[in-house]
Amino acid sequence: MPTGDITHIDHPLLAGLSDEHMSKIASCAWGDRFEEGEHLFRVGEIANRCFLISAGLLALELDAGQRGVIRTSTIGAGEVAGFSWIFPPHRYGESGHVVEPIEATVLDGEKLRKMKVEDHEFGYELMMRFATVMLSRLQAARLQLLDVYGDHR
Amino acid sequence: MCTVTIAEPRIDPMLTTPMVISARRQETADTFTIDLAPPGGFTFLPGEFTMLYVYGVGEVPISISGDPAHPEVLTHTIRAAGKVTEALERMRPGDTVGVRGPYGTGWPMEAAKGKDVVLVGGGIGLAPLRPALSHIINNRIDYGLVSMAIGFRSPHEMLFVEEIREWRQHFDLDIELTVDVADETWRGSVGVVTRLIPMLEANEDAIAMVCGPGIMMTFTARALRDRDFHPDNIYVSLERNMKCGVGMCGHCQYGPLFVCTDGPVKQFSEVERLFGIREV
Repeated sequence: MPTGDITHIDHPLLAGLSDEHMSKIASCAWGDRFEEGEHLFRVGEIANRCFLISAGLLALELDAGQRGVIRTSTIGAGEVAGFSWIFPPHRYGESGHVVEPIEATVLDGEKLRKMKVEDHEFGYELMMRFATVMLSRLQAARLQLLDVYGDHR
Repeated sequence: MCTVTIAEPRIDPMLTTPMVISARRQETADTFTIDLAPPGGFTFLPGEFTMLYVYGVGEVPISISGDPAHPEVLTHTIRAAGKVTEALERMRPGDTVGVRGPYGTGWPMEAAKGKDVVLVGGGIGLAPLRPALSHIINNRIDYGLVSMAIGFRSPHEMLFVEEIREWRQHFDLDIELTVDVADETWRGSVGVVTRLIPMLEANEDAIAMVCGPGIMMTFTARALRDRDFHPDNIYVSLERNMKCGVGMCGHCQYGPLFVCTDGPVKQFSEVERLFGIREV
């Protein structure tokens, strides 16, 4: 829920952004807080929000049936949750479960999508930043798959 | 230029000294810690190892995991992963183990003086780093910012749980902990240890000491280089099967190196290319 107007967002994802692009993002952003145990999003829900986290700890989870809920990663201050708003079919692929109270700037994904179509330069700038984060998550996931501490004799 | 510390053996390198197990702690399902009571004490440098001999079974190299300021106790943390380590796992306080050493190169505690220090330990690789952190805590004024990233496979496979809790209470240490995978009862960080590297406080001329599986060390070194750490300032601890421990048999040869005498601690710049050669 929006908690006030924002003119500048202090988050590593947006560092160095031009004033023009920053004001575009700020026009569809609001600050919010989420308490322990809350879900920011759940698997399969329509992905229309993105969270720039400034404090707290968020667990990304998948329900593995009889194995229970598996935490695939956690993200905290300075990190980003929610990329599914960028790509069709715009549905979250994991659940975001608050472990420690989260303070975040929430971005309206639907508005951002429209803005990046209307202004390709803005869209490119935004995509490069999100792609960099996604690449680092992909590389971490690959390393996780290697199970480096497992006994592979 | 190599700046690792090489210690001369303090006793006959081929002589085994019998030592009694004074205490034993089960760390995880397959990993345990034993304290030995060395007659007359046992001095060592952080990063060094000994050859532990189970009489009638065989010998195995194990890094020392205790506090170098306490020579009256010789501590090793061991994962049961073979004939000798499985025999060690069955031993209890009062049993006797043969010890040779200490051997090998230590962590660069002298070179790190006056600088920021980053320690990165993964799994059983935390054990050889523990003496380095103990040394830093005992001589805190000698070092700048000190941070440590610790990774385990899961919460059930964590080592030194109580000590990690204690380390995290030091206001002048930044201790970050993560596990590769967890269920929803785990309240800490989940993800590979390399994800912690960008969060650690250290300037670019800091000294990094890294220990864990080879692939983990490679990725960690890359993450440190992404933070502008110089490869000469990144130290890793090599692991290899050993026999003699004193550079005579060649059993631990790793490319041009004998891990027992040239290592186990090496600058990453010296071994980086070897990490990429599967046949080595």
